[in-house]
Amino acid sequence: MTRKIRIALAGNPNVGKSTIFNALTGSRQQIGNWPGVTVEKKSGFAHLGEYEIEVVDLPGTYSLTAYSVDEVVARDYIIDEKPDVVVHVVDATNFERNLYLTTQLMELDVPLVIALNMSDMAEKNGTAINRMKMKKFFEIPAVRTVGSKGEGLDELLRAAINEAETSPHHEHAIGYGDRTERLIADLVAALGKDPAISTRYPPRWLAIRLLEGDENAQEKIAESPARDAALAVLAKINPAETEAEMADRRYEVISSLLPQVCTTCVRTMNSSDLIDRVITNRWLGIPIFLALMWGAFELTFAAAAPFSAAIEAFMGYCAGLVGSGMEPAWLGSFLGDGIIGGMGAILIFIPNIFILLFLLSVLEDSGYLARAAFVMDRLMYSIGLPGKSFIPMLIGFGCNVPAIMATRTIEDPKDRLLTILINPFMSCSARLPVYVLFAGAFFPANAGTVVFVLYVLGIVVAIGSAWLFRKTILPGKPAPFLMEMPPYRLPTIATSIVHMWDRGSMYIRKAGGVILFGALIVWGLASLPYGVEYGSAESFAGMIGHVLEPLVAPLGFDWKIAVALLFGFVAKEVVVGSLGVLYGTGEDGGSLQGALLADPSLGPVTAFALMAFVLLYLPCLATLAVIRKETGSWKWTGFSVVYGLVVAYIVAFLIARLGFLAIGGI
Amino acid sequence: MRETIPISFLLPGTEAMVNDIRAGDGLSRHLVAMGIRPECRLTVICADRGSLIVSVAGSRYALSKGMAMKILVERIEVKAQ
Amino acid sequence: MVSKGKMIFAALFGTLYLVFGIAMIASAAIPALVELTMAYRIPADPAGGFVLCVIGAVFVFACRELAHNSADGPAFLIIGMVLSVVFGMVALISLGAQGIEVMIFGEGETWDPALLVVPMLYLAIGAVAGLPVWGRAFLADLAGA
Repeated sequence: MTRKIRIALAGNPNVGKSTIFNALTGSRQQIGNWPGVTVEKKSGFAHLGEYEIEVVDLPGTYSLTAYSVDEVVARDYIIDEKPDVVVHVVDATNFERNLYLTTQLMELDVPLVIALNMSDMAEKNGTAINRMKMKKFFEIPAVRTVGSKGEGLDELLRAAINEAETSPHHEHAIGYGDRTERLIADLVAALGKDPAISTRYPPRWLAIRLLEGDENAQEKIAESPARDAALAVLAKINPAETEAEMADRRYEVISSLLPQVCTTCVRTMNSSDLIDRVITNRWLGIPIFLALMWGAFELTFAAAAPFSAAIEAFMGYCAGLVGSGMEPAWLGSFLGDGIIGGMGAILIFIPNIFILLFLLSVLEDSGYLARAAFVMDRLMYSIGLPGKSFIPMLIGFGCNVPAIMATRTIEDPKDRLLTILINPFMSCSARLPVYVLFAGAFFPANAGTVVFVLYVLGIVVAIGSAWLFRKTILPGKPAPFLMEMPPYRLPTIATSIVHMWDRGSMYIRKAGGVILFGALIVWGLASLPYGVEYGSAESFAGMIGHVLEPLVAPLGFDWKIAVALLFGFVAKEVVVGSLGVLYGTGEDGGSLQGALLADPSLGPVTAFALMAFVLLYLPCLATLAVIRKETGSWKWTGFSVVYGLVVAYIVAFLIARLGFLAIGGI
Repeated sequence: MRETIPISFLLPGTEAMVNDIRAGDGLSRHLVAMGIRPECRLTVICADRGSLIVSVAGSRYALSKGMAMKILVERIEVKAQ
Repeated sequence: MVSKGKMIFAALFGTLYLVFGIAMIASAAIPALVELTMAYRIPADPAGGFVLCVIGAVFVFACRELAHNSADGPAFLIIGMVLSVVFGMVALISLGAQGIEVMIFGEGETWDPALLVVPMLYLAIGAVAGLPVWGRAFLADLAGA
């Protein structure tokens, strides 16, 4: 008979909590959302003996006040869902600071187990934590773990199960001094008048929160009949002073316990700090960053090439099998042109995306990316963005979907919205097939440079838009930069692959879902009305194109391009597939390029204008879905669409007109 | 009578004790939870035109100039660096 | 005494990387120079040239800090060596992958392994020699995998 237990993992950021979570739950995990907010919820299952253990990974927080959504989510989960045990993951190399959260968890009146993670590093530094004494002073069992090597995890689960099954529980409490304790007692009595409140929330905890001026706690009692009695008690105190005293008291407890429990606890100046002197050096900081970025992109394109070529060859083989002589003809077309043709362009770029995401994960896990955010903060501030935005911007070069999800680490809502709105201008991998096609055809000698110019154009438009939005719709300055710098470490390939997969799988889901769906719609519109020649002017696709043609004529585009752009709304990769359909050449890049070159209405200027248009015109369907989810607002999603179209139209128009003037032709 | 200055003026290697934090409630609480609070000691690891990386109770934090101007300290020990 | 060796190493590689880097940028900017640089197997690549200049600058800073006997000196030196290894590997993988693609999918085109000989790679082989000697203690202090 299996017995079920639910545990929650809590802890500071950067303590290796997710590594432990992954090690415990392996592939049996799922990611969702905490209800009502955009904070990610990760839960999974582990097994030990006859126990089935549900593990919930709470957001990493420094404390449990109401400073950020993360903190409220973490503590509300513990209070409302009442997990059987909370496992507090502590960074053994950084023991002192972690204990602040311990003191707050103790007040939540829930069974606790401490995981002393990264113990291998701590031991190497000469830190020795006496687990027996910890148990004696805190009355909380502590287990030595090394999450990255999977050490101590079974023991951790056993300790958790033990705590969950043992009752009665220890009452962990910090004494706050006579005066404050009297206030707490008064508040507990006042709150006790309302049974709904005192059964739902641990009374002592709620009293302490109210004394510290916690707004979220005040909301919780706002509707309660006990509210007035509580407010009467609170009116007697000076909130700021009381709060400061209580924080001091917590640190007093920590300082007095620390020497007895831990020796050589503090991380003194070491190699990691000296490396920081180099990496954040005034003159070298940004150049080193740019060089590493170049390295990442160079590796991405170069190392992906053989894989992409292999996928392309495979797709070609499949298309060949299906295309010729299949009965009925429409099924052959459906499979060949619709599915294989539509999916082909996307699958070829999967190696690109995954390699870029892997390299970014390596940089992140090594601790470098935090320094890069700091180094870039000054520059970002001057264009109105917080330093933290630049990580989502980087990810945007792979795919905008995980990039926009990565904006969750930006606390200030205006900063976050601004980062989300300009992210689509970061040229994602999906636009690359379009550049490769047109630059390869119309700028054969300089294709690489042209593509580079387009990337730069995207960045320039992003920066310009940020400046514009700050002057108009999102005024204000970015929040000042404050970020913990974890110690530099050699990243494990395994951990970086997991992080790469977390983000990259979003792209695969997009490919499997949205793009396939869109590709089939394209195929449908190109094949109907029944009997019409595939992709000709008489099909629905062609008819739509002719309707749109007058709109894009000033840019030098004809109806085929209008149709391709329309279908590109689904996913920008589909632009190439649609053109292949409309020019009747299928996916074969070579002959499509030939067909494009042969088209009298297309020349280098129109090609460049078109590439710029595709770069800028609107976020693809999957990106729009994420924007809607992350901003929670149709207004801003719609704004992205309209703004993108307007900017793309203006830029493409300028390119077309100036280009025609410059070279006297198309 | 010791002078208090914002940490953004300190040089690398300087040790100081926090005297006051000029920030709103939420930010102050956040800093306290990270260990940056009155009477705590910090050491400056790197500094560049007002923004810096400091060490507090074993952790390292990077602060922009705007943030560093909010934290007022008394110097304990100045190292020539 | 040990410092002297480090200083010379830093000065040497600082100069080499800067010279090659500038050469790469210059030959991309001024086509006439390409013939000269081609003879030394220096590609005309402005981005690669920039990267080499950055590595060179780190070594030059190392030399200066070592001369002032500051604690930062060894750090600059080791980061310089780490960067040269990192970019050496970037060059190796990048050019190697191109080679693989040509050989498997190239339809008869041959690939000349001599294409691998670029400054970003061969300078790194020299620079990395310092790591086992000076880098072990420094890097061992970092959090392990």
